Amino acid sequence: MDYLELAKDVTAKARARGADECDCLIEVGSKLAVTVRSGEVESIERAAFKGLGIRLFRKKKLGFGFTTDLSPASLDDLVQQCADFAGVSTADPMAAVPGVSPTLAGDLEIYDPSIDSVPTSEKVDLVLSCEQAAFDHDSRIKNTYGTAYEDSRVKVILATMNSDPVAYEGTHFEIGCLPVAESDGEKRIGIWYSPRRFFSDLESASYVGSTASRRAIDMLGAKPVKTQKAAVVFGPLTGIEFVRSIFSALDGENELRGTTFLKGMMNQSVGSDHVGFIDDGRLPRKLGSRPFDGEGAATRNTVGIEKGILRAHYYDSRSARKAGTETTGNASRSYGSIPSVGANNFYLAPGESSGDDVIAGVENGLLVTRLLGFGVNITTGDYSRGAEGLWIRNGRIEGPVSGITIAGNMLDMLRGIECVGSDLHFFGQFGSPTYVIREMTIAGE
Amino acid sequence: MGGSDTRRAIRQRVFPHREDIQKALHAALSRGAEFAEVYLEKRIADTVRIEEHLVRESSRGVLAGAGIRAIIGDKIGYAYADGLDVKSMVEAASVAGEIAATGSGAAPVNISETTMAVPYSETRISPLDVDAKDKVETAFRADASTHGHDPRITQAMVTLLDEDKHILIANSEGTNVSDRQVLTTLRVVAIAESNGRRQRGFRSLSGRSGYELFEKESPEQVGADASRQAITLLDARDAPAGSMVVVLGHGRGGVLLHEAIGHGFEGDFIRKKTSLFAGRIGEKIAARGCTIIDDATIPNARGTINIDDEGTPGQRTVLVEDGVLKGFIYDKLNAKLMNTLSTGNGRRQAYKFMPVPRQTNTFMPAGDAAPEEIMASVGKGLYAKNIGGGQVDIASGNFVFEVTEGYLIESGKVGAPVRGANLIGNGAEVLKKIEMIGSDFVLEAGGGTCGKMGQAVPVMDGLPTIKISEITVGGTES
Repeated sequence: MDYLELAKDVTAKARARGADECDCLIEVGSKLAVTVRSGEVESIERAAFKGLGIRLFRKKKLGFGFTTDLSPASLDDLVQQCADFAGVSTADPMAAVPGVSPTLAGDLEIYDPSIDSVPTSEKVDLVLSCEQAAFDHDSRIKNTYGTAYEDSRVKVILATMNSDPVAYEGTHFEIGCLPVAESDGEKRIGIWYSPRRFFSDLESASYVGSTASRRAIDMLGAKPVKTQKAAVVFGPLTGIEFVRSIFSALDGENELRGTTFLKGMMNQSVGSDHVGFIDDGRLPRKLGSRPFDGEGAATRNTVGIEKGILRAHYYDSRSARKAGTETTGNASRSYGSIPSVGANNFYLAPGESSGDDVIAGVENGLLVTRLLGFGVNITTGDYSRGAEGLWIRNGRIEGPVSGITIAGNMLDMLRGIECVGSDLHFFGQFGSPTYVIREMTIAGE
Repeated sequence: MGGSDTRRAIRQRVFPHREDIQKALHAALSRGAEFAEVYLEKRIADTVRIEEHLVRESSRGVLAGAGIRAIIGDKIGYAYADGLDVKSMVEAASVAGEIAATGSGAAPVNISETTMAVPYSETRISPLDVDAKDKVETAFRADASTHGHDPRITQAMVTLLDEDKHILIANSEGTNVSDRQVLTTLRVVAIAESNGRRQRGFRSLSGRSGYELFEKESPEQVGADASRQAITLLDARDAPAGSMVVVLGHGRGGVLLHEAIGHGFEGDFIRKKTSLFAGRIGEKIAARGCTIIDDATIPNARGTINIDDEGTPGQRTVLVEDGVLKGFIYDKLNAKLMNTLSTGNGRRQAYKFMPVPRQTNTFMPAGDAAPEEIMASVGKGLYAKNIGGGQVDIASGNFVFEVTEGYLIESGKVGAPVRGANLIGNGAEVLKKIEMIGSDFVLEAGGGTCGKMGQAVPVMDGLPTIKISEITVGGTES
């Protein structure tokens, strides 16, 4: 099927139903997922998927619909339903479908043709050898919670009533392992995974398996510590979770609504000199890279926090219009949703020292290896999460800790970042180096 | 607008004929699989979202597709196709069948005529019979009440969600069963601001029913309760840090059971021995008087399912009785490999996913302590009235859940509100520390959405007021 034509047809249908403005987003692709267990294939999953979403405006009133059934009758029904919903909606003066803007030059390298050329058997072997490496790492690894390989390709097509459809295609490869370390009835899970745009960029199966096992073994014998205030260190894997929360705090829509603890702090100091946060939709081979966002705006590089000073919020077209500024190319959208503000590649800017040196500089504190649960309130800045990790004393790892929480206020956390490593590592669209927060409350015994 | 005609057209059943489903089952079995299953789904879901007194979204989503599973031993082949056309369904079935490469040929399959599942929940006011205009009005009622509650409320975000889902499951054992599952949900976030302080309140109301849901509790009441929480929290002080006595409020406090016990009782973790509860049936794992039940048959509860997503009727399963571990919850595959029967807990988010063992409505029945008596027995501690989300590490049993509305308890009385904090405990230990069980059991009104292996399914929890002698509170005030 010619999906570009289909997208155009749907916008024409919408016009016929009285739309003044309309856009249509189609995603079409395929996926493969393989899981193994105890040296054997456990499951193989394949799919060819497709879905379509329509945004229909009538006198600034929006009706939205999506479907995975692309038959003509289904699409006719859906466009009618969108028109019905637009009829009962309220006019939103800020709403509009922006024109598709020209994208910036340069190859983002987001599509790897080897998704077709690498045979499935090789992918199965890869995940089997990943599991084997996990077992080989230590005799106390006797079981896994799962070892998996997954790849997918997605083509995104965007059409508006007034411009020709545009499209891009991206690939995603991922290998991950969750071994269980067991000793004297105690069980501990370790986690490592490697998501990439290119098959050849994946971390090796043996690295993924043995790293995950090391992380599980490290936790054997973990116990709570006494309740105290101490330094907290995040490595890249756990560090991205706070990074993700900071993106929400910089979301222009949250700023407009007053639902971020950073409200009204533009050009003020919100963090230590070591703190820089950047969103960049154009980093080659990164999973958050794409030529244009969910509304067709060109992606770009936007510094949100520079040396601790809040410099920018992130916007889609509606929130930008409302704030009296321009979109930052951060409209996030799948066929099943209306656009909202979302990250492209968002990361904490790396510093000078190696990750190991960052840890070696900590006198007394917790290196967090895993976070559990929710407990992050962007509106108030309250932060409280379940954690486990390794205790650091005088720059050396002393032993494993679990059954504790770490808590603080996110503004204090940003201001307390006192050292940032050079080891920036991306897990999907979020990236983080190792970094130290001077003091948080650790609740335990 | 021809609305009712459109609705009738959409409501017509669009699943392929029995012969075509049989063809798909044959295709899935053609390479030698021992078991094949076709899962068909058509879900129509409407959303109305209000922000800043404007309709930010009014929408319809249609999810239609087929998921096909082929099993040989403990190996699974899975494929899905978007849309419900016969060609894609049969193609997906062939792909799923490739897991079995022995090529021994198909076992004969004859599925009966489709039967409808026996319903635990009846729908009176179907979401598809409610006009878009009325849905928008329902959401605005909640919005007006949220703002009207107190002048310090600066923002209200209201989301009204409904879905009407038809599923059909046919398998190579001859099963051919269909069900209709309706779900209606209202969620309200209220933001309060005063003297530069900002707080957030959240309430939801949800059930396996149509718009008669709002006869139980009005949209206005839901909005007002979200506002009440936000306003209360304006005076909140920092939450305490460290180990202390905690009283969990009735209803939503049941998240404790879902995390501390429920997940560790799921049949896949039991079979793979990744759960700390594996192999411990008959052992005393909780305090006396502690009974925990997973029950998919409670009329109109959010976690209720007439049949699960493998066609097994929803059931009531006793997990813990008077402190003793009694049973686990299973889907078909894990049950078979463990030489037992499915408990009707094989659930999936949608046709794009394989079914896995999941909880439904998980609760602890009432005990005999009066709630006031429980509170009066606490010298110093934390009263966790409202709970947000939680998570568990299956292997170690460590779990957390977020207290979104909490108060200090001082000398047996509920004192000052405290800011949000997580509680952390261990499933194997915390249940032994339940000291008092209240007589005021309720199922929570809002229900939750449980995530596992990337799949979200609706669940509900329930609890009487309970007292836990010691649990770690993750605040900042030591």
